[in-house]
Amino acid sequence: MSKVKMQETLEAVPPAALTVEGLTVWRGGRCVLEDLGFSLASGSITAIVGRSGVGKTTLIHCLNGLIRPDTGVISVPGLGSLGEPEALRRHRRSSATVYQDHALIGRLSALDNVLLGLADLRHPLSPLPWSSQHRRQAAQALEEVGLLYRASALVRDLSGGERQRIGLARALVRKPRLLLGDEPFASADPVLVRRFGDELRRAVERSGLTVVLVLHQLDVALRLADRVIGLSEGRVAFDGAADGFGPSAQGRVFHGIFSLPSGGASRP
Amino acid sequence: MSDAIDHALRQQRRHALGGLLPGLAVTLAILWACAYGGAFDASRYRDAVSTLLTLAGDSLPPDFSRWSHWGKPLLETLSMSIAGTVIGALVALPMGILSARNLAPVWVCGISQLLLNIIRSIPDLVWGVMFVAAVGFGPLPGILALACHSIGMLGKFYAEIIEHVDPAPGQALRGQGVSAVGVIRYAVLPQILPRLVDVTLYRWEHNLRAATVLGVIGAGGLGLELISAFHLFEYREALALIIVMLILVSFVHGVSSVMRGKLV
Repeated sequence: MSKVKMQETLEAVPPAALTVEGLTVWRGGRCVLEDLGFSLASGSITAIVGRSGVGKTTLIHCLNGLIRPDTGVISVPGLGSLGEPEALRRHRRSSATVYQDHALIGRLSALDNVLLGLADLRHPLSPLPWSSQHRRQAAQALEEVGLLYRASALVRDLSGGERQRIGLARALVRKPRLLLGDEPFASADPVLVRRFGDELRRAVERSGLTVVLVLHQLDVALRLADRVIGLSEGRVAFDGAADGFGPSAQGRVFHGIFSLPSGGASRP
Repeated sequence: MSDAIDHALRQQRRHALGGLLPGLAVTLAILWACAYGGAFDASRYRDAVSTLLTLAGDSLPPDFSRWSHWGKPLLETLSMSIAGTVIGALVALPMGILSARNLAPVWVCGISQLLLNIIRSIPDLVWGVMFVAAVGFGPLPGILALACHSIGMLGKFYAEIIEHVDPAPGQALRGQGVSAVGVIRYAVLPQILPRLVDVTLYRWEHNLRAATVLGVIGAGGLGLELISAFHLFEYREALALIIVMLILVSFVHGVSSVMRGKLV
């Protein structure tokens, strides 16, 4: 019953392509993001790169509605502007975020943490335990990240890399159309990064998943992404195909030498 | 190089000296408080030791002959402590949530904290007198008095625990569209549950002792037996009652230790 209902809700949502126009965010008297504009094609992987403190995390938090931009509009075709509560609600239901600090609860088991990814499907005051359907979904998500054998281990006993994979599973269990990630591979070893990269690419090709990742490691970003958005001093310093993110573009993004965005075309 | 080290050490010493003055002030305040209460007045202690020894002698050996009358008061005291703690905790949790600055709007926090302060500043004996007048003698006024005072105390503790919760998991849930109530249920409560249980069990132990005292004002229980024994100069019976209470307190302490161990 609940399965049918949930799939209906998810399928009613149009493909998660997203448009950002004139996005400006002030934080503590400082302009963190200034007049950002880009549009994300559905079924693509976009890497957001830039120096620390340039506003990458703020951008991710704008895209999942945790931060309301001071000016500018983020809209999803078919849903409208995320400033509208109903559009935001449906956008959030079809998206998921992996957080930099994992944002897990240490004293709960891995499975219980993954179940939190489905918390919006339950009434907050329901006294019932998680349904077996939801538990099965969570176990499948754990299997996808290769941690099913740790399902009942407490998260506080897991390693940093394992926690990151639990965070990823909590996002995947939502079967999102839009996957946002804030340094999702920061504590994973290179072999795992490659594996997850391949997984993501397959999901993108299979189900039209749209992925936006904040990435520190440039080599990972260039290998994984179709498109790179480089931020510098709160503005878009580069926006283009990953192939085109060469040394001079990298210099602009990472050395704070601001110049106008070079074109806007993304790889089809 | 060594100049820099000397400089750092000098600074460190100046820092340590800076703590001297507040330390001196605190010491003076303590000495004044003791003197004001007459703690340094030697004449007051002249007969103290001999009187205490006489009292101790009069209460030995403990007299358990009336043990068959203590079952009901014992259960009354125990039930008062349990019911009072649970009712207090059930009301204190929502009040604690409303008093936590990271969850509730500022003005709600202000009102809720003020309410908790008022409830807390009324001693449980005063609550007891009021409820004896309102609902009559017996364990019920004791339960209500303990509940009221526990709300004030536990609400404050709960709010402080909630304010120290890691906000990241709650933020993650908000980011996927979970409501404020859902965030409290799925992210805040699971994180703080062991600490909530911890302070609540501590409060239970406290309420057990408080329940005994409440017996004095007519709320029944072992306290009434104890004060009656004192009034009748039955010191040997009083000692027996104190031993019974000691056993009860140890029992409650044991139970709460086991519960704590299971939940950390």
